[in-house]
Amino acid sequence: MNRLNNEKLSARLRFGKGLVVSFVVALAISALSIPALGQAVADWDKRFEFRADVVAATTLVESDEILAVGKFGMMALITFDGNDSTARMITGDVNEDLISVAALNDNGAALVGGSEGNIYRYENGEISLIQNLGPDAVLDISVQRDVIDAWGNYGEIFSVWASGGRGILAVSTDAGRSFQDAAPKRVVQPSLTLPNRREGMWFSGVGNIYEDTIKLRAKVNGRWAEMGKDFILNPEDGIMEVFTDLDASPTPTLSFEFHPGPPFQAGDFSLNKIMFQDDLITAVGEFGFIIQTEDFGKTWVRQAGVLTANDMGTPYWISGEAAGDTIVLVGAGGMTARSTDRGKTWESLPDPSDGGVFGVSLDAGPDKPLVMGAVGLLGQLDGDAWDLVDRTQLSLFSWLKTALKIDGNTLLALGGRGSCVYKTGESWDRCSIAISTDDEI
Amino acid sequence: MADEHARSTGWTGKFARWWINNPLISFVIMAIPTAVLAYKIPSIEVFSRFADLLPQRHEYIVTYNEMRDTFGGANVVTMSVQRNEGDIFNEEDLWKVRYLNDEVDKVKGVNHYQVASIAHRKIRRIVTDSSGMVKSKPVLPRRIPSKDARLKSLREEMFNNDIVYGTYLSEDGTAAMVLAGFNEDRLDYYNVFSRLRTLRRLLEGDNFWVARAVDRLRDQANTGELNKFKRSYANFNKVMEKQGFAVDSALVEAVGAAVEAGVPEGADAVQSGKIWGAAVMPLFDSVLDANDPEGTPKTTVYIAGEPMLKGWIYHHSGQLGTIFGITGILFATLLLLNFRSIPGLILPILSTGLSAVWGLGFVGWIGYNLDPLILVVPILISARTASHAVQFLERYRDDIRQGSDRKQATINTMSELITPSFIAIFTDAAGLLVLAVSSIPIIAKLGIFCCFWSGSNIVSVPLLLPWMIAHVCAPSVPASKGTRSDGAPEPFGQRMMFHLGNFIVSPRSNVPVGALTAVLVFGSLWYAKDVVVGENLPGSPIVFQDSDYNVAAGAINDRFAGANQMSVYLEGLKEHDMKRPDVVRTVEKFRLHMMQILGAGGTRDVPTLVRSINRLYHFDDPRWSALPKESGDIGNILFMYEAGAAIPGVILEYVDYPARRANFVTFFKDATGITVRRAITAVKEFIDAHPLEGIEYKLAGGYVGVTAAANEEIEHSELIQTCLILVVVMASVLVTYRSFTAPALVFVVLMIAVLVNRAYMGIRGIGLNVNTLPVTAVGIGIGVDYAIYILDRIKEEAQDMTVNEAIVKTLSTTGAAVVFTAITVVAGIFYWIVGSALRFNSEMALLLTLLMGGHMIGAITILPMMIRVFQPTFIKDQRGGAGDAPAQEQTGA
Repeated sequence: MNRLNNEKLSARLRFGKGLVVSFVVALAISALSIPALGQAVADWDKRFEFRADVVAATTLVESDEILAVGKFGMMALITFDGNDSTARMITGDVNEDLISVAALNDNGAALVGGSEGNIYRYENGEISLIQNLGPDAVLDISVQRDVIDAWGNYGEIFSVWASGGRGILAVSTDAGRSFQDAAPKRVVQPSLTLPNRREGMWFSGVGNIYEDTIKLRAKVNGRWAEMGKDFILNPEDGIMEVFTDLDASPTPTLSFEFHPGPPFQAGDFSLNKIMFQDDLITAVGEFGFIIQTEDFGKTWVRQAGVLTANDMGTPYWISGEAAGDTIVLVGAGGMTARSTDRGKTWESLPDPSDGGVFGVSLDAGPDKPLVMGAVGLLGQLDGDAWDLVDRTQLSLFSWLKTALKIDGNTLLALGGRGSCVYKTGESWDRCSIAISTDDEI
Repeated sequence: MADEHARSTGWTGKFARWWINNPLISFVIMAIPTAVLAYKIPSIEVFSRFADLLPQRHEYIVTYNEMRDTFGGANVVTMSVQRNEGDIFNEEDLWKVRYLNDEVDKVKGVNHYQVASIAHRKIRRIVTDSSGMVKSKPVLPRRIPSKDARLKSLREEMFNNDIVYGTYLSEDGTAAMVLAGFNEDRLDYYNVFSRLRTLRRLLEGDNFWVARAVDRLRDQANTGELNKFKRSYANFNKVMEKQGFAVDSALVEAVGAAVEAGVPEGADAVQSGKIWGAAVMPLFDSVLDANDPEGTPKTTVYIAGEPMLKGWIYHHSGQLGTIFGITGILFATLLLLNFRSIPGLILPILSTGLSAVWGLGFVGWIGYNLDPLILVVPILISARTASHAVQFLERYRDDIRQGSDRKQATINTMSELITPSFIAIFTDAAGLLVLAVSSIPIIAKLGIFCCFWSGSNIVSVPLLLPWMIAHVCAPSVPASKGTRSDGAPEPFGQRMMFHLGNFIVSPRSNVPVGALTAVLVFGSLWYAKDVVVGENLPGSPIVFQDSDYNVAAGAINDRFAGANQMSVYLEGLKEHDMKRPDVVRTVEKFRLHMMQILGAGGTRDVPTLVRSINRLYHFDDPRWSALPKESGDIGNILFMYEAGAAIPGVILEYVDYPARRANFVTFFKDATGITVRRAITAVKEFIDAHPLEGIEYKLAGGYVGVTAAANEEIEHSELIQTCLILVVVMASVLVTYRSFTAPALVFVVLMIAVLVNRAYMGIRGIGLNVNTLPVTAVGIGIGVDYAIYILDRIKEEAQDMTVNEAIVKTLSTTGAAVVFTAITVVAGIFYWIVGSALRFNSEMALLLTLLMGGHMIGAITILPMMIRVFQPTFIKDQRGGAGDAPAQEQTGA
């Protein structure tokens, strides 16, 4: 019996030893796994590159953060720190592309425009719909403030303007809480001088002219030229045909008022950018429109109009910037233009590219506009020529559109596929933005 | 003694006697159908068809077949021109991309609408000028720049082109992709493969300009137009001189002489082309040889895709001669070693030949094609025919040794083996026939013609062999070597089996055999769970991971969005439905949903196109990269895209002309089973959550889509096929032995072998796919023979002795023969494992070997042990009680 008990005991001991050995082996395997676990944790810590298209961005007031917006309702708060910049993604229930943004004076608040005509208010990580401005995209939101001092402090908001496709132009006088329609229905075309006195056809570049406002100030054999007899001007397409030679004196001029838009489609045009110079408001956009108002939208006046012998086409102004008396406009096909007298006269600047120019900044001074555009275009006017950055060297693989001034002396340019470059001194550097995964708002 | 066997007096005996005693009639019975079948053998064609790999009844494939004419098929070649140092933005590499693009567009069978690359005229760079005029230019200008500044500018343009970047140009600029779709009906895959390989060689050579010149010379010579031939010859000489390239002047002069000689007298253009082409070929080969890089080429060309894979299969088909040769030698050696006589070698080969004539003749009569991929199964059947023949001859020799004369031994053997042979051949054929339930044509065809082939063994073995032995030649039968003192027979094989038999019948075997079985079962269950349906590794399972093809597929997937496409089609009730804003917006959500899947590299879809074109028609302003709110605007954009394209039909990658159907494509890095399942699950989840009124989502096309169909069909077929073959096998055993115990015993052996096989697949990461699908059914059908032979012999012997004695005797006789026949079967396919460059054939052979081995081992160990332990009544009843005494004490009979 004792022998049997001993054998049982021995068997139990063997079993126990087996358990211990198994435990030790399991422990060893676990210990060996720890470096792999550490590696896995390290992998999680790797940066996820921010690759979204930044269609618009603004520096938030009294905040270190930039609010960037883009397709599919993308919103991100970017903290710029060169190559260590981070982006916190903001989740919101927005089912459209966000394509325009403007900071408000309230700490960290901003207005955001959508591709379906909606305008939203962003504040403290929340986004709420304010109202729908129309059937098409809200392409620009601009805030008119009383004073902006050299330290980046903002004065009181006087008005907020939002513009977009299909004639959207709306104004808010309550700091963006509500908007009223301000679409220009009647724009004054100041006197256009006919290029010569000969009979022929002239293209005014606008349509939908109010017939009763057409004034050809010219004489034929000493008498005032008569509509229908000496000339006709088709109000729909703005084409004037002069049937006879005009007198040399007075210099023949044409003026009229019109409803902006393509022929037969009055009101169907887009205003892509609104700028402010004291009380002067300048709106630019499709069909080469540069229209200005000094009475808060009661009267709009077209600038830079010309009569041409051929239908040359009109520029498409995508963006612009005003500083002091200077306005610089940029547009499709590399078009750039500058006015140094608040829009009264314009000069064409050399084309920085044959592709689109999408953004301009005068932060470096009115005589040194910085332009951004397609194919990673980034250049600064230096005298009469553009000083373009080497896109290959900067690994710019997409368009750039928005320039922001950070900390008084850093310029930051953002664009497609998360493109980010900055300039603190003389040269531009690539910045890298990582998506911060731990504190998504 | 042998003539006392009961069966030789039953119907089988009567039939055997009639068969042997009427040699002319029996010869005619065999000869007429053989001649009829042989008549059609020359009409057999060996080729592969992509459609044969797809389950044609599966709803995805039905949809795919319906849509592929509009949206393109899955038979696509993906090529990548990759610079090994620096990027491709240099004049030479860009010319290489253009040359590859242009030349692949000339290959016979190419679908011109499915050719695309940065060098193709349909891939455009669209710019808007200052007046809003939209200008469309080729991404790669006709005149490829040579100056650094323009090349740099070109690089920047391409990097910023969303259509090109990441899709046709790798994100690091080191590689450009060229895509080409091919027709799916009968395509000369080897021609496609050969041309693409030649192009690869041309492009990887040290001097591309000379290679291009000689390729053009060859091309122009083949046209048979003298002017073209002359011009290309002059150009070749100019390029040679400019590049300072040296080649055998005699070869150049020979071509020059052909040019000077002009059009051969009486020859038309085709004949002239042939003559001139032949004159140019030596020069062409010589230039290519001299041009081959010594080390790593400056530029590597990777080529993947189904047509290329098929080409590789044809290419490796050349190995078949070696494989058949070595297999034949191995086979002959085994037969000679075993029978030590010429008839012993000839008779199994004759059986195999007759069976092959019947099988191939059947293929010819029903008009099937032979696919090189499935040749391993016919070879296995041939080996099985030979093993049946060996079994027959062994039994004949046993009978001779027991005192019968040649004729009587033939009749006895025939009468005794007709039943087990019939069951064995029936199960072989049934195992193959169940493959016909598959809707994958290649599998179904394989099942049908191999069933007939295998079934023909009824003629080629139990009918032909006795006829041959009785009337033509018989294997020599060496005198019995007698037995040793322990009762074991003298021949080594039988002696080993005798000892195994004694071990099996002794209680000592209980623990080791039982434990081994338990370990096998539980271990196999554990590993078998890892078997995935579909491919387990990126690339193709047909070739090895380190093969040229899979290396190419890997390289392409590393650099591009993914060469594996999955199409989900949307179909509306009426025209213009695909322009509906709610549809376009839902597809955009679909895109975002799919891009979250691991392995998804990009999509091709209507909303992305609409956004892109909308932006272009708004002066390229990024803010206008938006979806319009009205269907009219969406329609206008789609119209403008088609109308503004350089060639018609570009819209067909997205929607059909009436806009009733749309194609949503997701690109994946691989088409492994996991990725495919993940993709289909994600698609179904989305569809469930986003129903669209009046719109039907239809799955699925592209390589991933058709693979998903194949995987689902395989999963379904595999279950049905396994169940069916088990039912057939069990039923045949049940009917034969009129006992439920007999099929139960056989079932255990079969399932253990299948489990071990599955475990091996799990361990080695071999997926259950179109290649491995036939293995289980074929393996069960053929492998069960061993168990049947053993069972039958034990039952027969147990009539005169105890069960234990019967087991020992069976193992030392039939068991030894089973081992030998298993070896002969394995010998027929073994060299495929090491000798085939096709992983498919190698793995199939390996799995079949494993399965055959498993069945054989189970039949000679587990099966007899179970009979000893359970003493089944269907064996005991006929002998009037079984004894458990150790066999050696009673052996000697």
